[in-house]
Amino acid sequence: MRQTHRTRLLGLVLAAACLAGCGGDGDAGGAGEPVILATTTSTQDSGLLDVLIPAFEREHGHQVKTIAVGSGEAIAMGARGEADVVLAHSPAAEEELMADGKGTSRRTVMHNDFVVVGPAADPAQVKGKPVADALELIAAAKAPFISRGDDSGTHVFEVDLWEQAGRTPEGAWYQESGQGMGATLQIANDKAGYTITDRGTYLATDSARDLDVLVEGGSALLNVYHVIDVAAAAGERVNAEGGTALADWLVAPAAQKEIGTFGVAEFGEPLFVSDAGKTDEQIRAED
Amino acid sequence: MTPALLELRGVAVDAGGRAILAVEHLAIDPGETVAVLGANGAGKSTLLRVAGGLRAHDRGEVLVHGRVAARAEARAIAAAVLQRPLLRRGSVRANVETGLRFRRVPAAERRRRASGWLERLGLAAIAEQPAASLSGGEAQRVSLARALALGPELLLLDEPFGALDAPTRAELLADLRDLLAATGTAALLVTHDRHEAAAVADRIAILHAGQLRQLGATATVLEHPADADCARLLGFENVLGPALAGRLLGHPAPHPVAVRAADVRVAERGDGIGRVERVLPFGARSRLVVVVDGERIQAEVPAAARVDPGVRIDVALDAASVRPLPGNAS
Amino acid sequence: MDVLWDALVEAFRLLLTGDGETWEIIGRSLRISLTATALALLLGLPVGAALAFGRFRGRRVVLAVVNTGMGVPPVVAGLVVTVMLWRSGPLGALGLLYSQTAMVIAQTAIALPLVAGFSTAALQHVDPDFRLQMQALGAGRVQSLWAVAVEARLPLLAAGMAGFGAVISEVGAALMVGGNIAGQTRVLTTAAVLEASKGAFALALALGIILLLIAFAVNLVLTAVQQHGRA
Repeated sequence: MRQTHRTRLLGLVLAAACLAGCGGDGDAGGAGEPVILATTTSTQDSGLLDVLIPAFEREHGHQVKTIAVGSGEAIAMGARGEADVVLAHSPAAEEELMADGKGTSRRTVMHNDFVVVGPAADPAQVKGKPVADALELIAAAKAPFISRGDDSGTHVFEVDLWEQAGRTPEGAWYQESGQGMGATLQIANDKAGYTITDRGTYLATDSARDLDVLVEGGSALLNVYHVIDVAAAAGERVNAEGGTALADWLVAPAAQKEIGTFGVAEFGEPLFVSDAGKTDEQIRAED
Repeated sequence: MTPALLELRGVAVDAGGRAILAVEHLAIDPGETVAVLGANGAGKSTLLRVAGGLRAHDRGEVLVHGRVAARAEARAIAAAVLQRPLLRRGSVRANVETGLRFRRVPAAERRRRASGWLERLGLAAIAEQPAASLSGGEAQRVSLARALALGPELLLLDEPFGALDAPTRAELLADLRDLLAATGTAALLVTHDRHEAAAVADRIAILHAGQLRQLGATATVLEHPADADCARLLGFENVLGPALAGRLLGHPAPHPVAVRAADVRVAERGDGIGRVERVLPFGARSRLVVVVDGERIQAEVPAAARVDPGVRIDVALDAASVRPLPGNAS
Repeated sequence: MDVLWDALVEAFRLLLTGDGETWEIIGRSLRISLTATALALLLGLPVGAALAFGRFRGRRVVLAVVNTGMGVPPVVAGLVVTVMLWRSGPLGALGLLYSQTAMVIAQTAIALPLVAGFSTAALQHVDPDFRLQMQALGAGRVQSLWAVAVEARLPLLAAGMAGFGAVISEVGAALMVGGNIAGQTRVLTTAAVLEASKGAFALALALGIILLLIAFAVNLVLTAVQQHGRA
């Protein structure tokens, strides 16, 4: 019966799709277990990892699974042993992770800086001021300010800045987007508001076109990225060897060179500064 | 003596705490057609399904060729035509081949047998048409061909022609009888229509509330109901109590009697014993509902007689057309 | 409105210029969702048949569970699968988290109640005497069930389409169990969410438009098969 043939054909097609779907899990499935890298959305969004990770995979034959979540979650993943290596920019939480014995080493990788962006008209008159003063002015003027509000590295950084400025931001002017940096910039753009962002995302995001950099520079705005090798003690199945291999590679000269030049072609300036081997104090001093 | 083809012994089916079917004994011999006559809800379909191994029974045995059989064995010797044609999507020919496919008959033989039956049932002209486009009569014909193509020893029919118009039904019944005779296939036909039973059956069984009340040769059963329930099923419109029967016959009657409306003689008379309560027109003939001694009796008269309700009327019976009903004897 | 127009243009540009990354994501989305749908059909049709024809204790309870399962938020399915598959979970040894296999598992879990529930209804709508008639012509249990399924092929295929529609468009579970890893577990929905969170709304919308086109194409094929068999 012709109908039976058609049914059989459909069955074959589905079976083929099934077989194709079951396999095909990544291309660089080389030696050993995959390495799970937990990192932050801003790191991922910058596009840097899209260059670094494949290079690592080619050289070392480890398959890397990059999971980009908020800083809080990335570090939590490390603490639970669900990740093998963590790349974050949330110092307090990172130090806590190390103190709990969940990481075998914590090394500096790179830094960039945060900037305060806002409408060109700058109603709160913050341009050129130190960041603490700028925040005070924004609060006093009740100018719209968009916060990440999502416990990410950027959000934690922003909250710290408010603390240092001696202010608790509350009121209708202080809005929490609960979303990634790109979306938050879009909101700030739409509402002609201020926000704190890492320079890399600002440069890369087209939706921030009506926002200008108003406050920049100074060690208070430095955003340092560290890589943490997750300890085997953190969880049963931690791929400590793979995690360490990736961490080692990130601070090695080849990767550091790539980091230092990333973004020049597209934005005219590098998005990050490579810092391997330096301590936090050294970085601050240099700036 | 060769064992019966199919035999039911002490078979009972329970539902809702009571027996909806309780058949002490029913046997079908090879090549014979038995009709089971019963009202709706009497248990006919249940009986057919138990006999065909299509449903389980709670008590008793089903025997095939004299040996107690599992349901699968009963299914192996039988093929059924149910009330609705229940054809599959596909051509008429494909439908006729359905059972043969299930039994994994090789393609060439399948085609040969199906073609043969398409011919015999007059379906050759529409063999390639989609089954969904058929009329009720054609569809039931296909269902019949489909069952017979399997060459079963026993054909089960569940009120197969009930939904069809009279001419189609008559035609199909005639074809069925001829085919059964030609192939020597036994058949079990359940129906509520005595004419259908009369048209094809060698023997008739009467089923009432799940129990067999009467079983015998067709001619005998049709004319001699065993009790009041059987009488009604067999088309005797009147079941009269002994007193009235005696009065109308002119001699004492020990039992209730059954008599057809057509056999009741009436004549208008001013001081008649009965009074016409209703007149029911039936085309060329009318039926009168007459009250005599508080009991109702139906009589048939030509419509031209123009009897009016309320008139007094004389009622009489012929001994020859009256059937005494001694009780639940079979 | 600009964004919508830009999105439309971008969608066709990505498709017609054969943008490698886009087509890779499309292929992956289809493979994962079609596989999950096939598995859901494989598991769900027998469940549907059992619920439609079986007479066992607790049948009504199972049916209620299946119907409830249709309304479970997919993200819950994602959470459950994540907790099972992460390293400290019962199936952690399999190392399946953040893989396409994990996504297939989660999507199958999402589609299964839909397929089972709709197939039960589809099979129950066939005349109850139909199966009996097939058995009265010599059909065994499997043969008669298959015959009923063929009669119910239209609503059964609809059950499959419902399952596919649910999983191809799902994002919460896919994100959670897949990790949205570029080149490995990124699919149309998770890619769209990523772009939206970066503020690249036109691209996100473009991916959404592509997703709709793909889903439309698949449904067109299935509908053609379904409606062709109407004779």
